[in-house]
Amino acid sequence: MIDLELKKLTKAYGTTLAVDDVSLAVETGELIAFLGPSGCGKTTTLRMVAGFIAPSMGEIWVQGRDITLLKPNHRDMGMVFQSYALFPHMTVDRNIAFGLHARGVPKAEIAPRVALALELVGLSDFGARYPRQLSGGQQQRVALARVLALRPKLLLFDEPLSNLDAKLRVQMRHEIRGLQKEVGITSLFVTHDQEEAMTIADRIAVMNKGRIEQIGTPSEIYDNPHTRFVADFIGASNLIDGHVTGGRFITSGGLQIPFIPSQAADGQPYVLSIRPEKIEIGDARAAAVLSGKVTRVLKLGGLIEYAVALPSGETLVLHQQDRAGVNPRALGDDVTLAWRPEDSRLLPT
Amino acid sequence: MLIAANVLILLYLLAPIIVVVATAFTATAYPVFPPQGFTLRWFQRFLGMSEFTDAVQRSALLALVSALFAGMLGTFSALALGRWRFKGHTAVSAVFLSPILFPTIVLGLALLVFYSRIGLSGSFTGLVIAHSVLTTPFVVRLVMASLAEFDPAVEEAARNLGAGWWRTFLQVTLPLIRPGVLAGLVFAFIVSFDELVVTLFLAGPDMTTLPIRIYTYVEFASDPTISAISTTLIFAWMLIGIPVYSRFLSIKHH
Repeated sequence: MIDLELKKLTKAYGTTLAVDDVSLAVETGELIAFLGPSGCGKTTTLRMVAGFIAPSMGEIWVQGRDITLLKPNHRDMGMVFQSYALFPHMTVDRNIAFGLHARGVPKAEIAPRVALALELVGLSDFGARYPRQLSGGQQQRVALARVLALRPKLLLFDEPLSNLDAKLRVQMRHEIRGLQKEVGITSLFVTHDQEEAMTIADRIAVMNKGRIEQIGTPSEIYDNPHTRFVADFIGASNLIDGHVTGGRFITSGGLQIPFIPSQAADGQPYVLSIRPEKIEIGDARAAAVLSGKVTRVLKLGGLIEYAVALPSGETLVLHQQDRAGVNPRALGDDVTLAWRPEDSRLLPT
Repeated sequence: MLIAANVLILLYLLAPIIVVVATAFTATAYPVFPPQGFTLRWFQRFLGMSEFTDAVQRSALLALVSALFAGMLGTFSALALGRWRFKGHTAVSAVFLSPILFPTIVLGLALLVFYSRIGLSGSFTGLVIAHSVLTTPFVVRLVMASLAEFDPAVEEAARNLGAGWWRTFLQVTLPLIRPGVLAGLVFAFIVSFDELVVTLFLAGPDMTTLPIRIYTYVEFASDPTISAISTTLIFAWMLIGIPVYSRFLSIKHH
């Protein structure tokens, strides 16, 4: 069942389009991450869904009802903010009870629902504290409890983990995902952190310049990017401009690369995309198709990253597992490169 | 060195007050410093003259009503200026704050001309409006400072949780800007209570405020009654104002 539907949603500020013709259907219980660089329109989209920004064009439908013109307080959504946005002058209990009072929940029901929400986020003993007496992670848990207590139709997350330190961010990510699955509420999650989007979302909508570039499951987005922007923004990728002739890719530097998918149309310009971990590095041999010189060696934890300069002037970056038995290369080594044709992608320029 | 400098500055600031308070107790028929002898006669005289006690009551009522009016106007103006971005925002803010910069004599004259046309001259309502015009900018400034201190997302959170505009204002915004609103009210009260120039233009014979009464009194008398009045006001401020100030207006860091 479709829980949330955005229909041609557009927001213009003067002549600039902050959000440009965004359409999206979200299934019940699904978590969709809006991922993109700052200024891509992901937050504006979320704020239009929440009712804080009026769309210039388009409609927002929730559970079969057009809510485009509804005030934010009548939308029955729960939003979690980057800054937590707890009421500093109220205790944790009163923060959580606020929405229940505002929505006219009977008095007798409020205390048990507050207690339940606090239990859900593991802060049962913190009801009498003030927000300033809590750590950042605890404050964000209270913000989560505050919206979960309302059992809203939709959960909206606006970069909720950006203010937390790296370790806590990863932990909270799993907690939020766990809770969201437990309550089964359809959710939108705005983030600029691709790793966060990959681990938390059922589907990712990659946004750029106000548009959704691509929407799909994390593995679809990673393995089959449709555009140069998506290939570049999600994970690392080598992107080489060129064209296809006779089943080979000719780079703009004039180098011939034979390892390309077979569906390429002759004479067409393309961007060849190959992920660093898909490239194999070998010793220099006379008969090698692709050879080059190591110009950079970096140790990235369990991976070694090499930059290899090709004779045509292009540089490829690749990763090698750092474990016993692999042959580490040094700066200036001559090497050969190869990959399976099905691991590379040809994208429109 | 720093302490000595501070003591000197404090003395410099306090000297007029010390002199006034001291002269209120002098036994002579005119203010002298240091005072000669000790008497409470001037306080008795002040409290016995109905023209003064009536003026105190009238001034207090006027200051209270104008401060409340200015507090309301100023708070809502500050909310609009602090929370909405619109075209000409800077110009509108400047207009809201301009009465502080106007010479009060110009404002008094302008209001006198205007009031005599619409029949407000000499009325209590007219004075309330005039004093509110003078004091609203202080409230706007102080409330805007309070607004700038807290995260606007807190108000959005309230809306998102289901609170309408009014509930959000009363339960979230107002408690958070309370220091600014109270400071604005206190400021507005003091400015209004103390106001002479504009009031001179606008007050009718039955609308004599305390500053006007003092002003006219010193024109023909020079006994220490005025010192006694000033001393009473200073102690009233210390008894009421300072506790209010330290309880509500001191800057608290969360």
